[in-house]
Amino acid sequence: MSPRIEETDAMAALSAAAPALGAAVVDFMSLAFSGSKVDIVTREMVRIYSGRQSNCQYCSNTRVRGAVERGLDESMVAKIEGFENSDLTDRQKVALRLARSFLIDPARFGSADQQALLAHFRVDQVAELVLDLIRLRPGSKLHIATGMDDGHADLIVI
Amino acid sequence: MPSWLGSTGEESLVDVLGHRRDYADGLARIERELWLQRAIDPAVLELCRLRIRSLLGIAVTPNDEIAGLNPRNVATLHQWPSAPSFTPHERVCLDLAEQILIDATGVTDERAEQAIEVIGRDAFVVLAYACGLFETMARADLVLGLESAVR
Repeated sequence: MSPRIEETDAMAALSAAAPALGAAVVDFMSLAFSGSKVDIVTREMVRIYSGRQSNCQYCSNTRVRGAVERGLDESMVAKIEGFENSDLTDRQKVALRLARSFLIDPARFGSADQQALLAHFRVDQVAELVLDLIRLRPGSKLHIATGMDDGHADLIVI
Repeated sequence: MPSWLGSTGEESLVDVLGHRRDYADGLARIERELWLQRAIDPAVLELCRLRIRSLLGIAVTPNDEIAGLNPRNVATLHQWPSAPSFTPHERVCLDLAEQILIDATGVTDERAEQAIEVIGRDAFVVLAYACGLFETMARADLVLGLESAVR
């Protein structure tokens, strides 16, 4: 796959194609971390899971510095795929279960899943996790569809 | 259908996500701007939105406020590759929408080049983002119980 547009960044391409939409998307990314309700490590695990499920190399191999500084390490990241049988916390597992249902079979997120989620997260925190899941994949898919996802095999911290 | 999240029977995604107000407002702004942009015809975007929701098992409910939406196309959306009312432009967009939903890595160089030739580079970029957003908003409706899947 090779880049299909002149810009070297998918978001810059979106802003060039539709400036007001691009600006709204950039603001949305900022609002995600303004007044954050859920700890950054849990959110980062959900983000990495979403990136992997979207087959996005860049999203899978990027680490947010704030999460790394608060304890996210590669041994934890390695447990994301088989999280159910890992020693990740129950809270992290519940968040990843939401992400898995959302990305694979959202209609099957049943009452037992809902109760488990609400046992660990307040309503505003669940709203934040769902907003993260809404936000993440469109960026991944834009990145991939515009041919910009090759060459991101190495880990980077941003 | 009221969501299981929240205590006041919220029935729309905006209301449910409003429990994290500023962030939800950011999403609402993106939605507004998506329908206002002119890189791609909103009527074509609406067809793609409906197709994505349909493939995820949600009953098709077109937005009547979208100008130029052909009711015949809505009614025959599942037959878009062969139904005569679809233009080549609409077919390219629906083909991309389906591919991006299933696996964006399947948008090969050749496929992207052909699509850009027909719809233009700006439309291609906006459509690629929009398809991801339509998908995740549909998934949010399902996971929050605001929509039920027709299986």
